[in-house]
This record gives sequence, C-alpha cells and structure tokens, in this order.
Amino acid sequence: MSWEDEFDLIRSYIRRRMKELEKELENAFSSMHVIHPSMSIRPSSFDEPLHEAYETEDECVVVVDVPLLDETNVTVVAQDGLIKIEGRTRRAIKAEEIGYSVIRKEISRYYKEIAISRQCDVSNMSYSIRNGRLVIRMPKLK
Amino acid sequence: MPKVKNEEEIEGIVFQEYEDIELNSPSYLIVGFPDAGLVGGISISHIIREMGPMEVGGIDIPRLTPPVVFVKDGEAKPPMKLFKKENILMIASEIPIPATTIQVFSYALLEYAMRRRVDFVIGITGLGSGERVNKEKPSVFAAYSGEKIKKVLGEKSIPLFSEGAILGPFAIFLKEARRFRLDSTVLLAEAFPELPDPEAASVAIEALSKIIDVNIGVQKLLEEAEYIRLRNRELMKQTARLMAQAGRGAEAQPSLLYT
Repeated sequence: MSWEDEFDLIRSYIRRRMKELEKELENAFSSMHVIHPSMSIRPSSFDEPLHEAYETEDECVVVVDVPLLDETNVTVVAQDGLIKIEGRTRRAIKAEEIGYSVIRKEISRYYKEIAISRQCDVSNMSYSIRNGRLVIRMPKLK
Repeated sequence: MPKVKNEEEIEGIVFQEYEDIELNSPSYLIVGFPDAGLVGGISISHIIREMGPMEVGGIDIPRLTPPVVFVKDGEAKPPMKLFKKENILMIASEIPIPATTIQVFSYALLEYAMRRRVDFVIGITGLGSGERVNKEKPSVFAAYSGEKIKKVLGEKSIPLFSEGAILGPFAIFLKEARRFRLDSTVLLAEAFPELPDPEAASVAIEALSKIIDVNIGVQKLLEEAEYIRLRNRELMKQTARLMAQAGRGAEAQPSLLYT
C-alpha cells in the first residue's frame, strides 16, 4: 500500500468521524428541548400512552401506562406483529386538570400500537390491569 | 426575576440566593432530578408540598442550549429552585440535566454544598428494575460515601444497594463527596425507568424520612398517583431520551469483579 493510499484511508476515516460527530451533536441539542405542561405539545400525542417493553429468558413483557383507564372498556389485540390497545378513561380529563394551561384538549380515550418481536408468542398473550398500568405478557417461542 | 441578594458562579453554574442561607448541624441537601421513572423529581415535588419550605434561591446553567426560563404568575425564575426549611436545603429541577452538563453541574453543586456547610448530601433517584412490574410496593436501597452516613443508614435499617454501577450526577456525588468534606448517600427506588412512577417516589420518601428524622406523609402522593403520571408524560419522554445519552439504565448490571 502506498503513502497516498494510506492518506486516502485517513481522510475517509476523518470524514466519516466528522459526520458521526455532527450527528451526535445534532442529537444532543435536539434532545435538550424541554417541554413543560404549559407549553404546546403535538395534539396527536395526547391520547397515546407511554409504554416500556423488555424481555426475560422466558417471556416478553410490555407495560403500558394508562392512568384512570376504565378497566371494563379496554381491548388488546395482537395482529401482524403489532399489539393494538384501545380503551376509554373512567371520565374525560381536561388538559388544564393536569397542568396544561394553554391547550384546550381532553383525554377520554387511549390508543397505542406497539411492534412486537417475532420471538414473542402473541397467540398465548395474557394481560392484566393494576393501578392504571396494563401489563401484557407473552411467552417466548422456543 | 426575584431580587437576588447573593450570587456565586461556580464552574460556570450560577447560584442565586434571595436571602442569606445559614444551616445548623446536622444539615442536609436533598437533591432529585427528573430521571428514571421521574422518581427524583416527583419525590422532591412532594417533599416541598408536604414540608412547605421557603424558596430561597435558584440555580441557572447559562450555557444551556436552548436557553430556558420558567415563569410562574408572570415572574421568570431559573430552571432549578432552591428551598430551605430549618436545617434542610432542597433542590427542585424543572429540567433533566443534559448529559453534556452533568460533570460541571455536579462538581459545582458539591462545591456550593461545602461552602454552605452542608453535612449530608442525599440524592433520590429511580433504579430501573424488571422486578418492578411484579411488586405493588417497590424496594428502596441506599449507596453511600462516608462513615457518618454509613452509621445513620445502619441505625435506620435502610437496605444497602448490594452491587451495580451508578451513573450520572449521583456517581459524582458519591465518589467525590469526601473531597468536599461531605457525606453522601443516594436512595435508589425500584422503578419503571420510562414511566412516571409515584409509587417508587413514595418508598424513597419513606426512607428519606427515617434518615432526616422528619415525618413526610406519602398518602396524598399515592392518592394522586394517576394524575401525577398523566401530568408528567411529556417530561418523562424528554427525560428518557436524555437518560439514554447518559447511559442510565445500567445500574442493575453486576460488576465484572466478583471478589
């Protein structure tokens, strides 16, 4: 390999690294935007609950945060690699009740679609609701 | 902004006091930020509501991008507020600490605590745990640095965090506190890391109550838990993104060394 080839390699490494650094900086700054209840939020996100998912050796677990959910009015369906969750709250909650002073929306329903790993056996899915948290469990396929 | 009586800049972080701050021994600085399960932020917010301390100052990070200020009843205030009740100082933060600011902010806070003659720095945070989903009442553990706080934790029967890594500002509080002549402990409550978890905050507050010998009720916190979770959804999303950058979530992993 000639010196010129080596310089080309170094140049291409530096260019690649510079692009990675630019990306990292962009991510760092974009995530610093603070949203407070009194500021605006995208209306589409208002009905969408938070969730977290993890896997153990034997099962897949999804926890969906659905405060004030009417437990008699919820559907959980697994379809095409997705779990679809739909439910209504026990009563409509106005945005101002939970600290949003500017927007005039209310929460009366939840809707969420969550992509599920192929390793999770959705045909044996079970779920329970406790303290406004929907816990969905699926055994892992052997 | 409120009328500032004293202002100190430490490592680029600005500490403003609206009155002179003097603390009798044993003195405490209680710190909680929006982090895993928002445990620190929810805890501090509830402690302030229950104890009714005076707002005595604010902390600003001037180089924060984008610049942010919080407004209450028309008055602009720094994003972190400093409260005091008797021998206890508390810091309430409206924002998660950006990963790029953790180092300078943490050292500045330790320096400030030393200058105000704080004896014990107590951090409150969430410990992401897969076991949380199986528990009605999560567990709380303490990690510490210093002989005085070790004795207190033993006397109050606070379970110790047996093994794992702690990342972020509390890592600096623990490993550097002695250089600032401080004792430090961090209360880690098992929590859903990416869901606001007021129940986890309640167990952390119960442990704190024992350490500082002040009764802080958690009944109201538990009654309002579902509303608190709804209110804090957007902050939780922001915080989860920042935690991923700071490498949070690795606390429960075992150490490579097993001796």
